[in-house]
Amino acid sequence: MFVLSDLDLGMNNWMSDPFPYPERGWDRGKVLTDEQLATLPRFERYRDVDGDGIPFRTLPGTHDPKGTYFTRGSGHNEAAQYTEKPDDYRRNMDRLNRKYETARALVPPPVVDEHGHAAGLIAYGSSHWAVIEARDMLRAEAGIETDYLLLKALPFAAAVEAFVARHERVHVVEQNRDGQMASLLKIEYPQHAARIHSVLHYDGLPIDARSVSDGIAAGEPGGAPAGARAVREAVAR
Amino acid sequence: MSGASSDVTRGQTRAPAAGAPPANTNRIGLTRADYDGSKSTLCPGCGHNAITAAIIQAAYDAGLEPHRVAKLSGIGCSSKTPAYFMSRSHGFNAVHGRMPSIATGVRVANNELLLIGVSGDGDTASIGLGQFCHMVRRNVPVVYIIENNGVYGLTKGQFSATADVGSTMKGGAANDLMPIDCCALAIELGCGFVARSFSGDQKQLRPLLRAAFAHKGTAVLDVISPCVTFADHEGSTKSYAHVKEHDAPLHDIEFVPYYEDITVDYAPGTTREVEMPDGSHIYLKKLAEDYDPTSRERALAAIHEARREQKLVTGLLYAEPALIAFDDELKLIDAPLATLPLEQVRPPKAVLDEVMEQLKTGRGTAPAGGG
Repeated sequence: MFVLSDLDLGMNNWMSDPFPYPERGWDRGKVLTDEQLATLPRFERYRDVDGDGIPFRTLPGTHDPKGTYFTRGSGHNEAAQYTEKPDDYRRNMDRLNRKYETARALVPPPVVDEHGHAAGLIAYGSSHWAVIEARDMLRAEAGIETDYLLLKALPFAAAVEAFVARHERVHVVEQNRDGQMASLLKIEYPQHAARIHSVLHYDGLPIDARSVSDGIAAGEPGGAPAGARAVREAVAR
Repeated sequence: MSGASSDVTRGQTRAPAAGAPPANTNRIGLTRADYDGSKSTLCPGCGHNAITAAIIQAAYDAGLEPHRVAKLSGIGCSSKTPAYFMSRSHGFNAVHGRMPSIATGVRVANNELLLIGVSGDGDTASIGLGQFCHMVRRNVPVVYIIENNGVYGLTKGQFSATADVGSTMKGGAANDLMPIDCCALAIELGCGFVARSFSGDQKQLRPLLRAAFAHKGTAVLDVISPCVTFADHEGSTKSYAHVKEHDAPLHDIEFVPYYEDITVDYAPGTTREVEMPDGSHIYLKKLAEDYDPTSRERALAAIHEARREQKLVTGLLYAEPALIAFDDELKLIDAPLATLPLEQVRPPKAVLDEVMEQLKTGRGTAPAGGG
């Protein structure tokens, strides 16, 4: 599991609502205790005993000798022993794929604000507030209504595909020259690739609502940036 | 943890009160085979295998409880070796040069574990140099063994950062760059246990390992370990022949653990005693005149003098057992954090509310910064 942040969050002060108290305590997942180990004939760190690709583990300090193992790179078998056997390696890679599929339903789900519009926006990280403001500007300045999905994690949850499938045009806003999140979405959902467009921001400054709204307007029918600018100027006058 | 209030100190337990252990077992009733690991896949004759054997013997002699030991390593030939000893212990083969981070985390999560870290000269002196330095600064309790052969064995024999000037590769190319001396560096950074040894010197290596097991902070053991495939030729300064010829031991070493009666027969005036925090003792039989392992300046001078004479000084170079331990600095409680139930580690809502209030008003403890 990797936790990502971004430069804007790391280096600049942000306003935020106070964090709510977590309803649940942490969940360490499939951890076996000494008491549980004692009831088992054997324990193998990477044996997928229940098909979800996530094997049980023990914590260092576990007393039962069955519960100790050596964590190492990818060259291991189900019992965490060193291996150079191709079959062991392939089984492990396939097991990791099952784990990835299982994770879709376990990682934080996306936050979706959807009202049946034709245009859908997808963003993540510190692009969020710029997108929120851009949606208001698009509505006020060009009459463009949008739905919005805030991505919270990879792998993509089922709700992401459903969102992409329901929108004629999907604008993926990212602070990335190569539009890598859009590329991931296209790889994941090739049948929807033609609907996915990138709105990119990579000039070295934090993303702003205007560049998002201009980028989206350019990809919307009748909403070219020039039009948006004209509306903006009219509003200013 | 406080040694006085617990019967467990860094993986060692007090001997059973009654009844002697069965024959061919150590003081906790385990056989030497209980400390074995998988079969080594390193080259036959590799110095690393001898270090593995020394670790097994020292762990057996010390009566370490295998489940209270965590074996850690980075990447390299050296870092494969934790699979070859103590298979009943926990182990983690970390990313290249990043073992100190893992060790720090393991120690914070479970302070009852004795951490045995095995690294190499590439893992420690190149890619992991930053991590090594900060582990030493923090005095994280790790027995940090550098299996030092001066070459990158796993990638076919390039010079590492500890190769001596003038040492040659198998193909004849000479090293022009100054070596990094991990012992001198560790001493400079305030390490409280710094030793150098040679993989072929089991008599010296085992007591050093046992003493390191008893040390409460970072213990650095730089063990010269010839690479029989890439650095055991005439031009290598870390070959068996070269090291045997140029080894200058500081002293003979005896280690007496705290659970044994201290009855030593050294003549007064020829030994120097260093008491470890858990009550065990190291006895240095003085071979070098007046060598004082408690003087940082003297230790650095010994290293520099030896280098000038193209010798390799071995033994316990520096010992300062009373340094502030990492656990104390973090104010860790005695019980391992990993074993605490949720109720004990989940602050109530009022605590979060207070933190939020402090952030809102700017009053109270400022959050830790970085950069």
